[in-house]
Amino acid sequence: MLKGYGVEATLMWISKQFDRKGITILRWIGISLGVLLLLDLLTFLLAEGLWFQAVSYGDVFATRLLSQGLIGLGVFAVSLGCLWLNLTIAEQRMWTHPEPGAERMMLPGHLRLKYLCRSSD
Amino acid sequence: MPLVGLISFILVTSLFYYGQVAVEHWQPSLNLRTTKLAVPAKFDIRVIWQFMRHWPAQPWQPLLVSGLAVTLLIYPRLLLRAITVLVSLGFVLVLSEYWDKLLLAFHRQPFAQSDPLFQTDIGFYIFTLPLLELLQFWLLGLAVLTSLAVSLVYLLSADSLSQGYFPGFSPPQARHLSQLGGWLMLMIGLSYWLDRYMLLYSSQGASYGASYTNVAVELPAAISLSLAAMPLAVWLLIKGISNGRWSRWKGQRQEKPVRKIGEVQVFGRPIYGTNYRPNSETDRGIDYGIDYGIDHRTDHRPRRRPAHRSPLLLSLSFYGLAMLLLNFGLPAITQRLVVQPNELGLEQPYIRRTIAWTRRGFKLDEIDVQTFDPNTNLTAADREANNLTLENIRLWDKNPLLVTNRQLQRIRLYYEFPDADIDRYTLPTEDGRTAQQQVLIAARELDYKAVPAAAQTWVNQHLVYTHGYGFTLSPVNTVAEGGLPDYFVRGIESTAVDPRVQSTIPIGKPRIYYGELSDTYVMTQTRVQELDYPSGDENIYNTYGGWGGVHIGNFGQRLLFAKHLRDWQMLFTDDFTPQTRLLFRRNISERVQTIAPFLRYDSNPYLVVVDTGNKEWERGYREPETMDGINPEPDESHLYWIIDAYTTSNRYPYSDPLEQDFNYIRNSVKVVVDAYHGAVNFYVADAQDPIIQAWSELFPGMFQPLEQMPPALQRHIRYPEDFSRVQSNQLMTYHMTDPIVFYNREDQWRAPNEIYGSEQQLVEPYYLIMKLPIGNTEEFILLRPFTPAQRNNLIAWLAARSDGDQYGRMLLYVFPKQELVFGPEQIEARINQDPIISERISLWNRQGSRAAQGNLLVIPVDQSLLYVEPLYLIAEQNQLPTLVRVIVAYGNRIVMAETLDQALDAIFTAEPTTAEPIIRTTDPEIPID
Repeated sequence: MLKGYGVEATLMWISKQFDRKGITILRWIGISLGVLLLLDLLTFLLAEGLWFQAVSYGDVFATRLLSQGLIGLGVFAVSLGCLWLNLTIAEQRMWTHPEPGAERMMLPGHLRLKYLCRSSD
Repeated sequence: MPLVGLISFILVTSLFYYGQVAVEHWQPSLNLRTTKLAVPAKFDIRVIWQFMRHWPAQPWQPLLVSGLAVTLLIYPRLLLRAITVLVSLGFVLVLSEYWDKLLLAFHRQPFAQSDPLFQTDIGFYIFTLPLLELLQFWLLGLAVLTSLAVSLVYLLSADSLSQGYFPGFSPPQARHLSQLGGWLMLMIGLSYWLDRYMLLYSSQGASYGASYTNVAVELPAAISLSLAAMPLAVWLLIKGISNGRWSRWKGQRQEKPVRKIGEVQVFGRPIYGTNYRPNSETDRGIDYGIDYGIDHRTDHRPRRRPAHRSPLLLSLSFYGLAMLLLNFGLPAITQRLVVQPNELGLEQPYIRRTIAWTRRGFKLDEIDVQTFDPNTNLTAADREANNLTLENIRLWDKNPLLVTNRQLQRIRLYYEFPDADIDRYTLPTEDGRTAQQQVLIAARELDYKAVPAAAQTWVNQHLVYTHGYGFTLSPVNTVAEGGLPDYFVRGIESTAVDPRVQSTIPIGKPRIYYGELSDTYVMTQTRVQELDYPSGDENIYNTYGGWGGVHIGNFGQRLLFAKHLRDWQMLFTDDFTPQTRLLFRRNISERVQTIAPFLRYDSNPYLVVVDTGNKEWERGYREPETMDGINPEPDESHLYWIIDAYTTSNRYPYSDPLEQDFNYIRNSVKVVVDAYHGAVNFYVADAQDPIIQAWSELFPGMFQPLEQMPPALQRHIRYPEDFSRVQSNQLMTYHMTDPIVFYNREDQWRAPNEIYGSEQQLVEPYYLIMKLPIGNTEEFILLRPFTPAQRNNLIAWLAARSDGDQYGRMLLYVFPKQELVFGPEQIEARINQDPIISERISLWNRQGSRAAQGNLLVIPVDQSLLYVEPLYLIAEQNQLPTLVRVIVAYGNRIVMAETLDQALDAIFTAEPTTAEPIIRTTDPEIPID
């Protein structure tokens, strides 16, 4: 699928280089970042929870967190689901070049060349 | 190409808009700014227009939009996926900030009042409507973005930009777009249904709220557009999900369109001989249950209606035209041709509504209006009868007092007086009775930034310099030697100067761990002694014995807070003990906003010193702990902060917000914060307010009735300044209850100006102890005078009461129209025109000092008005203001004397004298040669 030039191709190339060496550095970086973020969130929640308990308004904090969490999850699931699903369907139904192997991406070089060709006609 | 460009442009514009909203809501703290932010508007053509209007001023915006739009055309797949994730996160960020709206909507309280247009309870507008607006913002945005993104994918997929030719939409694509169009139309229809309610907040027309054009044109238009969108939505949805069956059923009598395999019938435009076909996964149509209507047996051209004759597209186009006409054309034409020529007649009923509902929204309808017919008959006997009022005339305001405090009461550089607040205390009088005394109280807080740089170590910052100490209490009406402010309580140990005060004001150990200035986190009950206060050349040290703060005795808690506060030195210090506590969020404003971010807070918390007995009434009260086998010292902390809090809404129908961002406000809560323990208690000051009722239902036990506030504190609650300022600003327009007078703005008021120092400023509401014309005794009043918009004479004054059962009641005293009462500007002019006074001021200004005029107070005494203005002398070298004169104006007399008593004596006893004529002989004429 990802042929030609551009960001996607570059990313694929980088990924392949990593794969070749058998090093999944990207994956590890991703996991580390995720863990750090999770840790940050957990310490935030725990520390703030202790503070709210100390001032005897733990229930206010809990209600707030619960409502924010539910809103966040619901909104993210619906928004991402709706946009992603529709884009996936669209990509499955979009026009493609008929000959297998001759599918072309909309890439900058391609776009420019095509226009140049058209103008030179 | 133009269509692709347009879609790309709208997509990028919508992203800009949602990005902008998300940035506005980005706040990585627990405070809730949404109390001050309205629910963001839905994305529509007006948003695009607003966005484009800023382009001439910000030319980088169109460049950025164009750049992004082109980039989107170049990398559609990658960018659209990225946009999907970013937009979803943006929606989460924005909508989760409005958790308060969601909770309130589920705890809706009745207002027992219905709006005049839809006859719906006000509770719907205050509690439910904001949630519906949020849903509108989100779902409409989602529908628009999805439709645009999918259209862009289809339009670009045929290599159309490179080829310069688009083959059209295939049936599966068309069905997909129909489905999305159906959802979008549904959202548009619901959005118009909701827009009906928004007419109640329209700022168009002669008055705020739904006026003639809104009701006669825009309301039916919104209903029509909403209802018309529904069948279109259903039509599109059926077309989208019919899978071809409907068209087959419809086309029973028509010849079925048939094609060869590999040829594609496109939406409205059959194509032959092109190299394009739908994606190989879908071309069979079977995988997705799609029947292209392909007949393998025959091969002839399909018969389809051209696109421009499709009834659906015609209906949609007609709907689009109707939108433009009904939203923009017809209202503008009606307003210009129907309303404006007959404005007063047509708008009068709506103006009446605006006046009535604005007065309700700002609680102006409860103001008791009285006539005040002033005279100038005060006698010496009247003076005696109004002794308490006259004795409490404020000669000092907070500015000169703070300057003096900073020079004389600071003791050490690291102490600071951030503010001084007006309050009243009951003190014994010389004749054995008690009387109210107006005072200025100022807390001496610790300003760590002022600690010498060399001493700003981690230990000093977090373990030693932990708290401020003491306060000053000054009577507002007396002057000490040398013209300086007088003090009831002064010095680092807050010593009571007067024995009357010593027996009345509980000074105790006035440690201030929680204040207006405190912003560092500190660790207490460590091995290091905290600096308590300096005494002479020595420092006194102490250890915190309160219950405030979080235990960080064990390693786990230390690690947690070291990470949370990003302070790793906490982990390695040897000074912590198992009893160590961490006190953070010590700034009282931040503290209360974090606990209850859904309230608005007054900008001026004030300090109160009272003995409430034990502290079991405080939230989170804990018995003092025994440390190292030593019994804790008795609790001698008597300092409390009182902060007024408000519940507000911007969805009160027909209520004009003027320059505010809310159109409903109630001073529904009083918050008490213990300056030593940090305990926070919320008391409901206006139990009638449905918003605070909803919050009380949501958080049972959080809000206590005002009666449960200790009586000693109750005696110090006062009508809040910010609330009075908002109400009086509204009253300047909305005291006019006659629609015709209102329409012509015949009786618009304004706040008068005064000269303060040497600058002109608005007269803000000020506290007085005085006897109201309807009252029997002196009481603590917040007063603000008004003048007509175009003139300088006084027209009315508003008094808000604070004491006991009268708390919260307001009185408006209006002068008879035929009476000309001097306003502050006129009095200032008379003062400055007086030859003796102006000469004296000029003289002071020439001698290395400058004379500064204080607040000009208008003080009602019986049926008269007294004007008092203190005059300070400020030396250029030390900037210490000293009170040198008091100017009193009454009737036609102006007196300047060294003290207020002397000035009053002169006013009440001396006969008015006429200035002796100045006789000069002119020089004999000099003959001109």
